[in-house]
Amino acid sequence: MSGMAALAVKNTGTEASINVDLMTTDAVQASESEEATTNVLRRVARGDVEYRIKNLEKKGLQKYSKRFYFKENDPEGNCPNYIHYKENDPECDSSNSVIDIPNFFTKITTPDGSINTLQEWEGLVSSVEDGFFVARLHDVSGRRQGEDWAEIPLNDVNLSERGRVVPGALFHIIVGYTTRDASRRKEILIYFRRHLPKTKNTFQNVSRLIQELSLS
Amino acid sequence: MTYNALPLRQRHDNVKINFFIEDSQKGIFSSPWKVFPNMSAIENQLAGVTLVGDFNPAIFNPDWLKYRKIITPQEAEQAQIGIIHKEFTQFQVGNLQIESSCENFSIKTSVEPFIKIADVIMGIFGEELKYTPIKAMGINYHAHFKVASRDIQTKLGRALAPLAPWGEWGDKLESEEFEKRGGMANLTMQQNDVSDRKSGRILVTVQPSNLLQPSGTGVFIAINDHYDQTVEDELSAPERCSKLFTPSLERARWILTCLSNYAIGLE
Repeated sequence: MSGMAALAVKNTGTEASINVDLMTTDAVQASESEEATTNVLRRVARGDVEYRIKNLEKKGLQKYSKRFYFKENDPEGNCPNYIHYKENDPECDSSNSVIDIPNFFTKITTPDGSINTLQEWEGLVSSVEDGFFVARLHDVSGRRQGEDWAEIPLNDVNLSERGRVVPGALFHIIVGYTTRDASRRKEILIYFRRHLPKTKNTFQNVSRLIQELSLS
Repeated sequence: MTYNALPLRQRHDNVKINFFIEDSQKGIFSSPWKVFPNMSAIENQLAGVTLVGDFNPAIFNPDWLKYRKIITPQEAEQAQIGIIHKEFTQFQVGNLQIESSCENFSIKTSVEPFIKIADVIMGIFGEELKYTPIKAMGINYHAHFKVASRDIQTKLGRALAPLAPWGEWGDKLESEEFEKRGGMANLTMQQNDVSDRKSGRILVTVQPSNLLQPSGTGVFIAINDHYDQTVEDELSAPERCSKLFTPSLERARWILTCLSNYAIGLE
């Protein structure tokens, strides 16, 4: 498979779960094959391959099968396009790279329950009490200026997030609607920030802020 | 419409707490920008961060992110891998789509909480790979929002890009039938003087939405908040991302609001 792109793609169904392996027949061809693979990936990144897929789809080629394979720099001219339908093109070397193009290019899926934001607050935990925590909230939806205080039940925080509910913790409350089975409903999401920048004065600033807020 | 499902209670009697969502244009709050986000009109949104610099794509994979405690083991287990290669990497963990080439690194998602992007950027480049050279950063927000009718979409397009300067050719763009009607297909505005950075700009692109149905009743807006990163900058790119992501998103939604409010005014 000299000069061939060597991508093996495992199709695990309609979910775009694809494994990519580099395959070479021997050590001599390894570098050549890898270079060809790199060229493929560059074209993937540029979108050239996707463009060809669209053209193939327009020609109705996709309806026969979802299995396409890719041939790089075809010297014989047997494969005028980069992508070929395997069964309709027996002259193409089947040991060539195999890539399940339609699944490979499946776009990011938006899961059910994703929130379309209606309003969002940024909050700072002031204190944690029995069953709830007290926080200062700032509306980041542009609806109002200034800040508010709130008591938020710990039950509203995911179990995996509760360890993060400590004084000084930053979090976001997002209210929005989700679409599920063509119906909409309102939902609340509480997310605690992590990997915040560590500055020299962070601890002092947070402590001072909490003290100020407690006194106000 | 009001919404008061948030189980938040008032702490101080002297502080008015309102946790209501109002769809009306005249809400109960006074906005600093004298406009109200018409967020309920947003049908689809996406946020992302793109970094420009020198990267090693092969290092980015779900296992590495899990090992560095940037994502959870469950997220790593359920990751959908597109490609992991020395020159290009693409995979999805949780709701985050991560891509890297040697020159660019990007994370994007269409699912809240968007702020998680800033945390992942900080976890990767602020803690684990803190010496990665980063030359520029873009915080991006894309959204499709509804307008009342096709005529309103046309009026908005005509207001943003009038036909008069196009002379006789401009006349050919006009038509009674919506399908034959021409006009603005793409418009980008640029703000060069942005107070929170030494060098950078905000680019706002507006197009008719090709997503919202029926066709002709939606507008697509893309806001690119671009920061050039220099050695003189006090904050590193990931620190800046962590600090400015929320204000950037807030500003992007405000820009969207300005435009959607204008469209509402055309009704």
